[in-house]
Amino acid sequence: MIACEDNIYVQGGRLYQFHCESCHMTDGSGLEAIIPPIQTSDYLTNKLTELPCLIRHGIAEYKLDDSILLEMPANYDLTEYEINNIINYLQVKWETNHILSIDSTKQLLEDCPIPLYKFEK
Amino acid sequence: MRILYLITVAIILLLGCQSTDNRPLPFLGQVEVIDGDTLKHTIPHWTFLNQDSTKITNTDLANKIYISDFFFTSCPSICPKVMKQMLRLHEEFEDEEVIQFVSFTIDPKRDDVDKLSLYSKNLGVTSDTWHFLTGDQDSLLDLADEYFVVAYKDEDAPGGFDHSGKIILTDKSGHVRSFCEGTDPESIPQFIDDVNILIKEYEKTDNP
Repeated sequence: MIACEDNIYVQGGRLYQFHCESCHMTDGSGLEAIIPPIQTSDYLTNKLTELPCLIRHGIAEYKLDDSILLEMPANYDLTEYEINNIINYLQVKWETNHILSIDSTKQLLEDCPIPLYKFEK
Repeated sequence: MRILYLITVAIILLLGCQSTDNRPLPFLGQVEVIDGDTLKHTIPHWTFLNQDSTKITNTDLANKIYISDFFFTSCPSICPKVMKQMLRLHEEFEDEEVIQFVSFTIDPKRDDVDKLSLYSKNLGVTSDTWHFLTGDQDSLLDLADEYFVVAYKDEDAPGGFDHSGKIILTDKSGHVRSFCEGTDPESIPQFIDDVNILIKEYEKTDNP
């Protein structure tokens, strides 16, 4: 019997492996309070509309003197399609099943709040 | 007759089959022969500041078996995975007072005491069992060599540093006795065995 792919967002899975896994881990468990887990994340459910912008621009926490305390790097090399694919891969993987259409992702990415910081190499 | 033969073979095999807990741990590194004395590779004296701003030297660790790694907080590549395994080891040995964890930063410019304090708090650990050390850049990079860990500045590497994710086991006399690959969760069980062997080694000599 030929096994079916258990997640149809295969490209999303590969993108996750390449761009997200080294920090968020293969099983999405993150690293305590340093790197949030994905499997239980609000960003897959009630904060889903913030997720495309979060993936694109990252997020940072600052000290009073403006130096960076903790950050998730931005991913400016990911296209809207790739971001959409990663999100939907996660929705299937963690069975939250709020699939985003590509149009929704594009729309949301147009209205991102000004990024908290610029990604520096 | 046949049965007797089989029983004998079985007994010999069982006797010959030592549990892994009995094998001796090697002393890693080059030995030097000075004036007829064979000196094993020993970690040289070091002094750094930990996340509480307390000065820590390896003399402070003289009664501890310690498990260490080299990392930096802005490391986007292997460090989170290695830290995850360090945490796993931390949990495994949380009841063993003789075990101490030591993480050295190789990026002291960005990883000052405040940063390490925040990082360790977010990891959920205190300096009682886990030191996060910072200090002079060159001293830290040179020290990595002593622990057989590759670490150097590389502008083209993610985060600006290239380094290995080795986790090192050092005994009470500053000799490196074992290591594993922090990026490979499967190398951890063997390392745990090695740590337990070392603990037992000391228990035997401390309580003959």
